[in-house]
Amino acid sequence: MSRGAAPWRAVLRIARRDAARSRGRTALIAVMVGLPVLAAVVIVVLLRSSTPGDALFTRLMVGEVTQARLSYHCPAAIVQDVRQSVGCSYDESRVQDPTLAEIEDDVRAVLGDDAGLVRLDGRRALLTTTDRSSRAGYGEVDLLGPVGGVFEPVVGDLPARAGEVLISSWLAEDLGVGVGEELGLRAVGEPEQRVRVTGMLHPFVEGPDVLALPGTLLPTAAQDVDLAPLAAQWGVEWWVTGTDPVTWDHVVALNDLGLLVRSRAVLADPPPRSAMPLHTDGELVQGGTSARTALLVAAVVGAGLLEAVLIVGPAFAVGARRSSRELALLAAHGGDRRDLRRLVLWNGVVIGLGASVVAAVLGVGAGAALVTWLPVGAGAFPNLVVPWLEILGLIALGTGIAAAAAWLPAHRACRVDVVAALSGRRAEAAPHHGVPVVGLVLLGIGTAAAVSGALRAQSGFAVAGVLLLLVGMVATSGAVVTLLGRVARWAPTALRFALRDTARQRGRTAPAVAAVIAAVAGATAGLVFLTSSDHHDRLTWAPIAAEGTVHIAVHPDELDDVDRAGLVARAGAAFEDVAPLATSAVVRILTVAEPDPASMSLSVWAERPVEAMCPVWLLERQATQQELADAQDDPRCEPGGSVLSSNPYSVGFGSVLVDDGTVVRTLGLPEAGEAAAALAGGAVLVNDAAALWADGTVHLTFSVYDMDGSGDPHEEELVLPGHVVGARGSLYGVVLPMGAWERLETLDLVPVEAGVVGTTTEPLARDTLEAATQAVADAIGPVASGVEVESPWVTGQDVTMLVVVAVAVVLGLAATWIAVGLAAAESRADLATLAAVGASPRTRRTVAGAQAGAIAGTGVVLGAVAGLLLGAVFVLVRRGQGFSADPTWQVVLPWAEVASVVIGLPALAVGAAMLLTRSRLPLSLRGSA
Amino acid sequence: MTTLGPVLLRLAQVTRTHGHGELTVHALRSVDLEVRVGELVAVMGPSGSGKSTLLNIAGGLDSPTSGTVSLADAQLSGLDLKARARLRRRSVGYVFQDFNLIPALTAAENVSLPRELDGVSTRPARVEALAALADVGIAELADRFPDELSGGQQQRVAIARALVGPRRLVLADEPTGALDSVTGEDVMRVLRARVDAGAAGLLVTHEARFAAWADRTVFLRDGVVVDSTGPRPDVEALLTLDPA
Ligand SMILES: Nc1ncnc2c1ncn2[C@@H]1O[C@H](COP(=O)(O)OP(=O)(O)OP(=O)(O)O)[C@@H](O)[C@H]1O
Ligand SMILES: [Mg+2]
Repeated sequence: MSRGAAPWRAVLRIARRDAARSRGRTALIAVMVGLPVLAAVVIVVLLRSSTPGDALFTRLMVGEVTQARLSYHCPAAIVQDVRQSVGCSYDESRVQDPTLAEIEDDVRAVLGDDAGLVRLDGRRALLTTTDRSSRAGYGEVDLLGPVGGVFEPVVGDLPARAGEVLISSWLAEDLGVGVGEELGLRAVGEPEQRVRVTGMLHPFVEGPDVLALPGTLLPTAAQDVDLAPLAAQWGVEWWVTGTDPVTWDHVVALNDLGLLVRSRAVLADPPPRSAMPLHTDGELVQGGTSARTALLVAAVVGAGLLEAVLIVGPAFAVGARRSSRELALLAAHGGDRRDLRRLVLWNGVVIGLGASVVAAVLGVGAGAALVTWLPVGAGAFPNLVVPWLEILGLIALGTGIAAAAAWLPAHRACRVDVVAALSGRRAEAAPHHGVPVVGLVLLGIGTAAAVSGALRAQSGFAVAGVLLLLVGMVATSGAVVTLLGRVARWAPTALRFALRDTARQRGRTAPAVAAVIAAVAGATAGLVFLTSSDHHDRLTWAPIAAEGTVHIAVHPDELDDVDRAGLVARAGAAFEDVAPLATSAVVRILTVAEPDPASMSLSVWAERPVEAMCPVWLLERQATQQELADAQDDPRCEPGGSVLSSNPYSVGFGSVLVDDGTVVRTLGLPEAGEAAAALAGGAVLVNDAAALWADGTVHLTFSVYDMDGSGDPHEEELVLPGHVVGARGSLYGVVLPMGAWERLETLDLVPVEAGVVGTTTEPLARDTLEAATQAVADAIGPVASGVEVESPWVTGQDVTMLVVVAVAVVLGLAATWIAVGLAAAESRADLATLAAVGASPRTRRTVAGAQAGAIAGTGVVLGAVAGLLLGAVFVLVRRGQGFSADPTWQVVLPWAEVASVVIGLPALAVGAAMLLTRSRLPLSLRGSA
Repeated sequence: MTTLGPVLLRLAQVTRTHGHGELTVHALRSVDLEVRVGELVAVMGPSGSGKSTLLNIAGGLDSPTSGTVSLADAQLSGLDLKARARLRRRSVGYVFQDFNLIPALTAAENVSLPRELDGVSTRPARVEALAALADVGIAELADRFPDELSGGQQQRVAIARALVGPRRLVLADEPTGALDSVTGEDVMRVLRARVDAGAAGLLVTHEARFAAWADRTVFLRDGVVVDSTGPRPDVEALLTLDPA
């Protein structure tokens, strides 16, 4: 029989007023729930505001009148949502290589002949003022037509004639120019020209940094040129004009041509998710989020939520126990169990909702303030977007956490023994005897699932296991406390009293222990993951040179006069003017010779002998699950040898080095002497031992291909004596001896200067290094340069670890404090009796201390165990995330930090409880409402 | 004294034992008791004699080990937890020595609580509550919170709540225990008046002075009814004679 809404209202009223009356506890819960909500709301607001909202996005993409913007993205079909490309699906059979005319015809075939197309042609360009220079994308498009609306300047005007340009605010800042000033502009392959800046682009408009009218600089592109090389330069885009909207069906059809489409009609009225083919037959090459990563995130978030619930829980348990008389009274006047349960549950909802709403309001305020007041410029936010739906979700989440935390106390509360509560007898709802058993079972299943899931890289399993494990640990904690009560028989009076009391009052202690478990488990898991991740970083840390070695690299590109030898000499000299080098050597890398080095790229790799190759690589088909599983345990399948690419315009030191031994010797890693001698003797250096064939040779493949991916690569093989080095830096993947390339018959390769390496007699001071870096930049500007000093391995986790430990200790202490505070209030009578029979204040302090110690100690030990397991599972899941298990992910246990939590937290809790007891006792004589 | 109405509460052969084996405590043994409309029955006896147990069983908060309790024509033993809660909402009200009122609710809200729990919506429940408060003479205190009321006023609110709406039976466990004697008399006067106005009451007290307000007194010792007096005449007259 339903009693309608009236009982709800009555119970809600009590819950609301209770929340207002017990301010301390309410505030504590509110802060615990509210802070994460606040942080999350600020983050969503900032995230959402960092990209243009729908209205702004539409204006920046298609302006006021055009129908759509088409951008050529890849030579095959792409997959997109309404705003951006999700990936390019390289289906070999469908790779297209159209010309400009062909793609425009294809577009018209999709959109109809009435659709007008306005094209933007782009190039990379060098912009110069008298004292500065910068590289940027340059585009020409008819800005006087409909497309002008897209590039509406925020300052100044649109260009009115050839020789006038719009520039981005980023470029304006970089060059230090404003509206009305002049620039030198040189696009790839074109002569330099003076242009005048007429206006500044919106900082969030997509496209080149410099825009001008057609005919300013670029010749009209012939309609029969291949699209791919054009697109590789800066990109080719079109705007669709006319009156017919571009529909989602059009978008999908255009995607097939490799075009990304931003349509006014589609942005205004997005298609249902089901209409978006986010996955096609081809392989999704980029952008797709891996399900495994999603699961790992789910595990962390799930465990975090569970922790939040466990940590907030005791505050409600305490509240419910404190108001047990009130609950009994409600029962005496006809409230049934449902009403009692609701009272406690609503208490949680009221506090959770209140805290979440306040936090959300504050968060929106803080986010809005940040978005509005952050300085305008490159880092500014385009607009303020308040994502109400997501914020509502976060409010619901906060409320949900509080409600979930109140759920168990609520169920306990409704079983209150009314008569006992009213007569002042301590009414302890009988603990479920099944709970610890269920807990143990959960613990077992959880651990098994987590570990096996982690080992077999089945994140879903691991995640479920992790959560079960935590729940199981919490459920078992009560039994452990009871056990403590049993062994108390042999303890001295104060301790015995405290342990007995702790065990008897499980309704009070269990939630506190659970909270300590949660806090400590979270912290320990975090510590394990951080330490292991640090270890992983250290294992994958591959120095390419001895500590302190100086690298000076020059990066000329197609816009620069390429007298590399001169550049390198000037750079080296400029450096030495500031910081003399003890030894130095010129670095040379191998590259494609003329005529057109800009568009050709070279790759070199060492082929392993067949027996050293991973079987999966040799398959001419998709590997089966079983084969993939076998491969995971096969050492041959571990990622080893590197492919080294060399493009003269993108050289760092990750390129194919050619060396007579001096560079390697100067780099000075262990065994550099032997390596240098081997190079001098005509051997090639490799760092993949498996690449060395039985006869001591290395089989190198040289591959030259078009940068834009069109055309077939041209390959040739070369067999040279090999020398394996231990250095794992990719620089050492292949180092060629002098003259080796001359033996290639079909490829025309030459070494070019790329920089200087050197050593100094003593470590460089920071400002000396800065001065030297500046000197190099000045000496060869506008050519880009990079100066680096090989630095020692540093761990980046110290501060994070400290924060994790601190948070765990604070949360753990808070939980213990709640429980011990309540214990003090409840055992007041017992303590008074103790005092009456002659126990000293010291005894009372000892009792309080022992209670705190029992709670904190139990929680800390169980929490640490759970946390070590959790952390290990996370590390193992991470290890198995790639195709094959990554052996550099190893479980490393941070014993020192874990010990500091395990010992420190209970010690602090005991100390605090003992210190506070003396001043607490008289206070606690005032009722316990 | 007016003529008595129908039987509202009937306990027949009620026994209540706690624990078992050597630790067995017989809180009540074969107790028979009837309370009629218009009747106020006092229960007296030494500490531990089973007075509170009797009251708790009468209201369905506790269940007898054997015997039957019928309340307003319903057999308590045949009812589940929910139905008993319903009975408490509609038919019986408790008044305890202290901790009587929910501190988070005003006087009126405390009184209307059983009605709202029963599904009466806020406004009519408040009307009933105000009427009940007026009956006990403190209508003007309706919107005060318990900690803004004196002990006597709090007990009046409790009595109002015990008899709000359709409720006709008050079970009062030492309602005067925490009050000074003058205030205690005050509370008894209100209780008496409300019973005379058509309710029934079962009152546990240690003091004969307060028992004197009852129509009859039942004496308990070790869980057994050992004596029972008839109705007393004109208590007010006796009071004025009393020099103390
Ligand atoms: N939960 C219980 N467990 C064990 N014994 C109980 C329990 N509740 C009551 N008793 C016992 O039952 C007996 C009657 O208790 P009851 O509370 O009814 O006495 P009382 O007459 O109300 O006493 P007082 O005047 O002190 O309030 C006592 O002996 C008491 O010890
Ligand atoms: Mg009693």
